[in-house]
Amino acid sequence: MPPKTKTSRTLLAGAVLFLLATCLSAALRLSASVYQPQAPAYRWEGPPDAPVVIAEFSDFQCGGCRAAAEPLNQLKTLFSGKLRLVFKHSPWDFHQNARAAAVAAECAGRAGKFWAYHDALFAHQQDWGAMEKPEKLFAAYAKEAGIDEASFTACLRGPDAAAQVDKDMQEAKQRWVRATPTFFINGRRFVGIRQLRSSGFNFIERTLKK
Amino acid sequence: MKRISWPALALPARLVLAAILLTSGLHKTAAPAEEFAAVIEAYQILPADVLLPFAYLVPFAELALAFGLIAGYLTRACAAGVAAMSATFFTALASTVVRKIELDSCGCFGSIHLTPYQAMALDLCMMALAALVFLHGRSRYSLDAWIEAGDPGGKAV
Repeated sequence: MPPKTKTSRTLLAGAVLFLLATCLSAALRLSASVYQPQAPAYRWEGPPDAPVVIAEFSDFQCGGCRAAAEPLNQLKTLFSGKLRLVFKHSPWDFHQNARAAAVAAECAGRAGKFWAYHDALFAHQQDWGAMEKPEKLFAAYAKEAGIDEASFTACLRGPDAAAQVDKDMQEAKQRWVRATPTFFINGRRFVGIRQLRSSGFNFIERTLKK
Repeated sequence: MKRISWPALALPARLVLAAILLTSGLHKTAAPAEEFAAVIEAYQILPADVLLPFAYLVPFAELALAFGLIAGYLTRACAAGVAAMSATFFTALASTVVRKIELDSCGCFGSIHLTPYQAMALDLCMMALAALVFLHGRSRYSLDAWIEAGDPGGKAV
């Protein structure tokens, strides 16, 4: 029987509209699947059976990504043996050398020196970031890391490393990564260092207590 | 010269407002709330603790107001809500301009990026439309009309 009084009609209509908005909102929120990161073995750090997996979407030319090293090192110390970190490339178009740096890091990874090269790129970010042609510096960092120059250069010229970076960029797009650094800790997203510090640390503690 | 019929314009205004809110709410809801929280963080207005709840609340409020306007439910209250929301966003954007904070995105429509001035212009338009709906929004094509047609013995809300 349809409601007859103004009050009951107001309440019924309000409840229906509220329910509609809630259902639509919940459906959209729940449709996002839990993220399972994929990457070549050289971009993983930490034990394979670690209960906490952190995927970091990063850009070698972004200041915030360089600054993320500190909280990530803190996490590695605090939760030693319980964390696994994976690096995902997300170079921005407006950072002129970011993609080239990501490709160079991929080539370093293929030579088994990803993390050393990763550290070198962030440490010298201001040197190569503004350069017109940073290739010479990239080669110098590779040499410092003990990478064979000929194979590194061949890798830079080849399509494979670039394709790997493009694959990550596509994944970043699909995962709605709109800022770097973005962290996925066991699938849960934390955008920027502040969210990592304010909520990410607690989230890891709670996960490990379970 | 024919005079403008404001009541006749109120229905399209109501639907345009609803469409803008629906687009904005859907874009934000389809994206992770953390992304929107990061955008709000860039405004440097709200404390870190409330960023994430706010990022969940705003898109839901936009969707609820959009549904309210489409259906014409508590139309004047919804219009007032939209005006208040637009005024708040306008003030927040203006404060970033004054404080010379460069925003990567205003956060208005998720992945659709507007400059602060474009977003402020949109907020002004929304306030004007909301005022029109508030003043002349009563229409027979609305739930309000159905509610009003209810038993007069009942209490109007």
